[in-house]
Amino acid sequence: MSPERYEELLVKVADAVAGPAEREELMTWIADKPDLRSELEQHLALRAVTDGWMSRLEADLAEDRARRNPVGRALSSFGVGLLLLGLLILTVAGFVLPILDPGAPLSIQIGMGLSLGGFFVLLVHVIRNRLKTRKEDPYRKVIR
Amino acid sequence: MTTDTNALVQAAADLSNRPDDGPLVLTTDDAPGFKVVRVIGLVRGNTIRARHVGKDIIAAFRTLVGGEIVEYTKLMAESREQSLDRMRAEAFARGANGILGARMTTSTVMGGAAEILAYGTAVVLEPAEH
Repeated sequence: MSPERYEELLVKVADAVAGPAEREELMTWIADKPDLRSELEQHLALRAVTDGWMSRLEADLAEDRARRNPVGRALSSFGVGLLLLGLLILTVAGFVLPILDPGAPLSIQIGMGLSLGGFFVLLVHVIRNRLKTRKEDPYRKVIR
Repeated sequence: MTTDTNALVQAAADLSNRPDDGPLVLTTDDAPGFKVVRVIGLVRGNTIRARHVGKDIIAAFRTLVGGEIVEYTKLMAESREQSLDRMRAEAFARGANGILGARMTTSTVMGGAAEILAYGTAVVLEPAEH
């Protein structure tokens, strides 16, 4: 077999486009040539990896679609909303209770009051800022 | 490539947000088919971005069960594209039409935020004569 014919058959078999006769021709030729058999095995292994790549992509996108499910998204937004509301109430209570406590020193009451005021001013500031710029943020559409 | 395969790789690559104009950004030190007629110098772009606290909470819960943390995949992708755009903008503003040896690096400034720095050498390229 000429080197050109061998290369042609090797590529066809590795790409799984060889007919039965071509496959038989190649296998007969390499039967007693361990180095050529090894070369074919390497090509087939590479092919298996690249074939797997495409099916992994399919699975990846299927997972993406599952994550975009409206019910799942609504559920996670609801959960996050509840959690944040609870944390906000706890934070505010943590500040307000010492302020309202008649036994607390004045310095603690003033400090807590100023901190709570600052917290809300900064919170409103960053939320306002983000709401203004969010729609124009061109990177919102980037997914990966 | 069949239509199905084409659609699949297009969706997976998220090409809609990749610019195909502006300075040519290459990671190589030269541009085959072009010659460098002028070296302008270092150009860079950086950003630090974060997702909102709700996404951070969901991401934290994802670590309990494993798998991809898509909230942070998106965060890193947004940061990468923004820093690349800023690098391109600096190159363009300085009269370059190419960036060679482009690199990206990252560092941790604060938890839950992504900093990406993109940098490279701005050059003026012309098609090489054959």
